[in-house]
Amino acid sequence: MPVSTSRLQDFSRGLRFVDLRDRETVRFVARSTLASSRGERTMVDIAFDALWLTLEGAPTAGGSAAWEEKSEQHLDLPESMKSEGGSRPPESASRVGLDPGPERCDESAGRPVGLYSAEERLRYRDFSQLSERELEDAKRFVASIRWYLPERRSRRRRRAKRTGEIDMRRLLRHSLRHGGEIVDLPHRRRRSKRRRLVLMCDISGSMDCYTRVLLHFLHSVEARFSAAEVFVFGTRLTRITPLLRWRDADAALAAVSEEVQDWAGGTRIGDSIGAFHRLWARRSGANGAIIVIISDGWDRGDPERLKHEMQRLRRTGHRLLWLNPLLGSRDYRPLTRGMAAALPLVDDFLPVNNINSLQELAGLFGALSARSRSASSSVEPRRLHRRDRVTATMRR
Amino acid sequence: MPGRHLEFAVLSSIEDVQAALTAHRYVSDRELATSLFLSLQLAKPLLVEGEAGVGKTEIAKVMACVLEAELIRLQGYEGIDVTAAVYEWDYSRQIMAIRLAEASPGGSTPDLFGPEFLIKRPLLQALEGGDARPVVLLIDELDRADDEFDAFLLEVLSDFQVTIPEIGTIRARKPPLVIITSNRTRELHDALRRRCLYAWIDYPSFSKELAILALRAPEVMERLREHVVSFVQELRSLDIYKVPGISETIDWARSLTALAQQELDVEAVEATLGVLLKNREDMERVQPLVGELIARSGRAS
Repeated sequence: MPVSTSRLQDFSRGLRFVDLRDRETVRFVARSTLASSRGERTMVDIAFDALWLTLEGAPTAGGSAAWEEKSEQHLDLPESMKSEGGSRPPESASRVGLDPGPERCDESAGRPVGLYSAEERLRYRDFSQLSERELEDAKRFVASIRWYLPERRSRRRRRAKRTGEIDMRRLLRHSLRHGGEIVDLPHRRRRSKRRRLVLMCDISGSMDCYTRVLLHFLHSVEARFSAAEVFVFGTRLTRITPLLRWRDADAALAAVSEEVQDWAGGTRIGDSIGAFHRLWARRSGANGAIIVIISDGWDRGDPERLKHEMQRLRRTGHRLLWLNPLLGSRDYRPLTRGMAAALPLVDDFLPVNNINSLQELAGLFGALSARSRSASSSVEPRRLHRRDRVTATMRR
Repeated sequence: MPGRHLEFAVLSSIEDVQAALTAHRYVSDRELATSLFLSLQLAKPLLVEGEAGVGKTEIAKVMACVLEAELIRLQGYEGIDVTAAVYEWDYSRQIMAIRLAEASPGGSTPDLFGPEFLIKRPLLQALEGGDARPVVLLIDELDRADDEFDAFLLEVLSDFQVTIPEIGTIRARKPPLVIITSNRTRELHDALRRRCLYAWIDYPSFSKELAILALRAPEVMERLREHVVSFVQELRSLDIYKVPGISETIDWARSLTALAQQELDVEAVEATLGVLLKNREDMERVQPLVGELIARSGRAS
């Protein structure tokens, strides 16, 4: 946790006013002067307690072990808060990188090999069927995709040559120079800001085949847009945004696999989205953001709850996308209760099973306009068609 | 600047601050009083964060009363800029002055940048206002503004001065007490955070909320008061979206008293639930649980 000299000065000046034997008051002074957020406040507490013990002459045998014990005690915050302080560089190789993948990933019909080049074949190959070497290629491919996010108009205005509205202030100001005569008509227009992006990826057991590549996808998106918020969920929700900030993808994923507790377990999508709303929605500025959920829809939770949370999500964000790796297979029907409950609430329902689908997603992102949901429905008649086709099949 | 402190000689210790706050009907714990005291002594702005409705804005108002200072409020919103926050020239008046000068024979050129043409906005008012009365500057909901404003504010708060090109630099002779509140919907500029002292306000404990209710709504009877606070504490532990804050508790206690309720019963609570919960999903979720909550809170209080 960074502490600048000026803060140390403040701390020492602050201490002049208090009785140094009064432990709690000194703690409050430390908290006010050294911390600048809730997470840092907790860290100040930990350091303070440890220091106070040393000062009181308690033996410091155990050193860092005691430190860690204290952090476990103090941090009754969700684990994702720990990373606010700055992550340590991860050392061990990750579960994610080396695991050859469970037997569940069976072969299913890919595209006919024949006439396509190797690269083309890789593009259309389902993630669950990639060999180790192909996986490396795929990772590189994913990292190279160009992402563009749509913009929305901000309230802030700035000068413009001829577009937009007339800038009265500049108009009058200019006219002052000419004795009050209006000589030119300066304009101003609204600035555009990039929309925020929130990604939530399912990493439960059923998604295991896809998780590796998807995490690389998440990493490359985060590398491109540092304002994007990334979460993973299984039975609980974990924020991995700061962990993905490592430049090296493998190091980042190693950090993620250490952090995440509910890897390859069950799925509770509704609960996880609920946790997002309660803890993170307001903090990560999800208002008006593009929200992307990546999941196969196999859910052990309550479908009513899922529906409820999805409705809320729909209201919070500008656009709600659901990416389903199973959608790549022609026989897929969203018949699971979770998927069926969520489907009508989603703006775009897209596959994410191969590199081609990621590239199409990039295209979609770019094409999303800044206007409201209804106005931009013209963007995806093709998607609507697919969804209609699927729901029509369900109704049969 | 070393050795600088605000000219508020009234409060010389943390206990003084706490006593003064209580005298003005604001219940604070010692930690908050410490932060406020330090802010006064070290002349640094205080960044107050916490959930909605815990009394962040209220602190500034109370401190203004305590210090007998003028409260100047700057509300944050997206797109706020120098013109809205610091100053603006009254262009129309300036043009009028020019016209008048032209019209009157032999008139001298008017001073177009005199004080009568300067519209002072909150930050400038706060900087200049210290001469007559001390000033408490409240920058409310800074998280609703944007990064550019943060950077601008950092400049102003570092040296308590602004530069107006036509006039020069205006420095505050007596720096104001600055309180910044944030609802954490956006991460504030790092340098700005480090410039400020920090205080986090949590939802109050049972005894604290009871004390607040006693001070703020003395007309409420003691037994009802306890039951109300206990109920709201239980409610906060539920999984609802908009957790009720302290002002909701006070309003609810007052409404129940206005309806001549002596204690909580299912009917009264259901009728007044809208005072506590402000959206439909929360109300739907809580309504079936009202009876149970009343029973639980009745046992606890």
